[in-house]
Amino acid sequence: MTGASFFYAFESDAAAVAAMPTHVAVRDGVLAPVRSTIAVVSTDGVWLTQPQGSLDAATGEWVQTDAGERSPPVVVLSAVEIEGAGQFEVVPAGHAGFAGV
Amino acid sequence: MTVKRGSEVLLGREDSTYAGSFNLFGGQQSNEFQYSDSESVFTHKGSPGLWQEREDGGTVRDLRVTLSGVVIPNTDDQALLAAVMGSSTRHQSMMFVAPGAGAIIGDWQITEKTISGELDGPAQWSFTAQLASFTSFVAAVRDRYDMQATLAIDYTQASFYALGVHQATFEALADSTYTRSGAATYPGSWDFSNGGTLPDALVEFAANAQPFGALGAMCANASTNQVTNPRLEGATIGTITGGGGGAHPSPVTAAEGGMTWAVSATGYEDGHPFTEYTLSGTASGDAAIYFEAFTQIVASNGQTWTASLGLRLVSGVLPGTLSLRIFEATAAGAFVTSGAGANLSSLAAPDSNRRRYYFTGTLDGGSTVARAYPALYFSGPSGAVACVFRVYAPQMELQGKPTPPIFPPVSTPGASTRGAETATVALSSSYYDDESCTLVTEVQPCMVNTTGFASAAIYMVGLYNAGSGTGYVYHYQVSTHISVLGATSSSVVLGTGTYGRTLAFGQVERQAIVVNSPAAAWRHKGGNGVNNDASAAISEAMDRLQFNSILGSSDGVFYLRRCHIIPAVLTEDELTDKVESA
Repeated sequence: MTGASFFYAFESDAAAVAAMPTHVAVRDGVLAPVRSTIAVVSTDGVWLTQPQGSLDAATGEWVQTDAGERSPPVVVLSAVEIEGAGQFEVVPAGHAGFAGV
Repeated sequence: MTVKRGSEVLLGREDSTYAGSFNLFGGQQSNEFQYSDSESVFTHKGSPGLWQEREDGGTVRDLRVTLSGVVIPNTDDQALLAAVMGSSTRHQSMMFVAPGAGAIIGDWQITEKTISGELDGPAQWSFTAQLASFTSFVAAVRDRYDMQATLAIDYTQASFYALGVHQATFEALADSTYTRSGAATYPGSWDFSNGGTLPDALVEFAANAQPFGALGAMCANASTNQVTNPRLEGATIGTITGGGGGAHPSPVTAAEGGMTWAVSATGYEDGHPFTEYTLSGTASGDAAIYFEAFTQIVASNGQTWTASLGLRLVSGVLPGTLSLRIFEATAAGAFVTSGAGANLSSLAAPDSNRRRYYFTGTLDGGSTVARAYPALYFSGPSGAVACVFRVYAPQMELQGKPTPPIFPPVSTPGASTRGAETATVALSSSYYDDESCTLVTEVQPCMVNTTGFASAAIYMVGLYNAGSGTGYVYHYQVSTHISVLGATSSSVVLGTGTYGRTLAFGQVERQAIVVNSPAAAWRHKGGNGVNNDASAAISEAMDRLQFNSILGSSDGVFYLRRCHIIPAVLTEDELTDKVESA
């Protein structure tokens, strides 16, 4: 079973709580899920489009050809679609969502 | 079919004195049996009683009814209860009932196990019986004999494998729930020591299935593996160096150090995904395998990350000094710095065993640090090189400890998340006293050195009131101390501080909490504890058992081995005995 993946990205913890108060809460200053269908996967954003690059054959160094695009920093992953939070949904290319087998 | 295992209801305290006869099956065909530990004699006498009255009224020890298994979903997704009766070493029996409705859907079978010479009847027989429900059965026993039933869950036993059961999960325990978003793994019986072996298969469990194995149920906190291809999919067998046709699994790259690199095998070894490398030629400088693209994992100065990786030496001698490192880079992937990492040989030299290593480090490259990636680093290799080795399941987590491997779906590379788990058992009043009880748990912690992770729990097991969602009393252990907290509206610390308890990897810990509303007491293996502390202020019924996810925290990583709830306030001596004895 592969976990579903609905990503919601916010500019701050407060914005996340305001948008989905029954799903996340700030505890001890840290944004935390309040149910097992939720995970806070990043406070630095996730890739919306992944960076591209390759190893330079001559120097062996990594050469970036596309910097990619990041989401807003606070990213919440949900196994179910959260009603009313659609405006914050993002579709990241760099994250597989909940792990699955 | 899913059948849980290892739960049992023990009728009577171990030192109970049984008197009178008890007809388990309401007058239908049954068998009587009686076991006297002191006489080492087990007898049965046919119907109607389950236990024969002892003429001398003496003490019978270890007479028990065991419920193991237990729930088998049927086509209507209705859980069914499989009950096993008897001591696993003496005899074993089994029945199936539907919880609630209580209809018998199978035969009760009793199979003699190891006492053939002591039974004066047939070695094996079966019969059908009616049982209103398990709870009423237990209640009847309790009322008739003033016995106290206890609930025990043993995750380390696989008593149902003989029945052809292929999977046992916590959520199948009657009146229990287990949820977790995202898949999880049982990491091959790794004790989480750095460089420790993984002798068993790595088993993947789908969402909402609790991982378990020989060491018990695997409890772990939510985490994201930022390595996008931990299954190491897509490698091409062949020589990589010089365009020989071989290829690393994308996006893995290597600094070759002058050696000739080849991929010699790829796939899964006992469930552990791997890439096998063969190195040859002559080394001319440091080499490394980088397990992620340099620009992929967003990080910043001051963050604490943990890289983990499996390794096995297939043949030859690994070149140079091996270390597991975390490299720091700019947003464009330019190298900034890397520390010395974890020297693998100083932890446990790579050998023919599957071993798993980890390194926890705080990024310190300064303000330009914006990315990080894990690497297996070969420092100072020289001369001729000939070796074959396998790397398994690379992982990179933004926290100060490793957790079991996390994989994205097959053929779907990307950072992937294992969600938090919620595991509870609703405790039946038929065999449980929610205001006067004792909780005994046995765990194997998977964290010992918690540097950088001081505020989080190593393990958490507790009771709470389901109706109000409060009233917790639970054990947890953090880096410096063991605590038991009881709370109605706010946490009351019953016992904290350093109790001289040094955890060690692989070491089994036992602890017990007594709920004696409003007071509580606790013991931990090693003799430490608190007696009957009324400051716990427990005024609510403790009618739910919960693991790990308590009070919104689910930070622990541990194997849950056994859990035992006794509906009685044990004495101080009994508590000590419970946590000190095997």
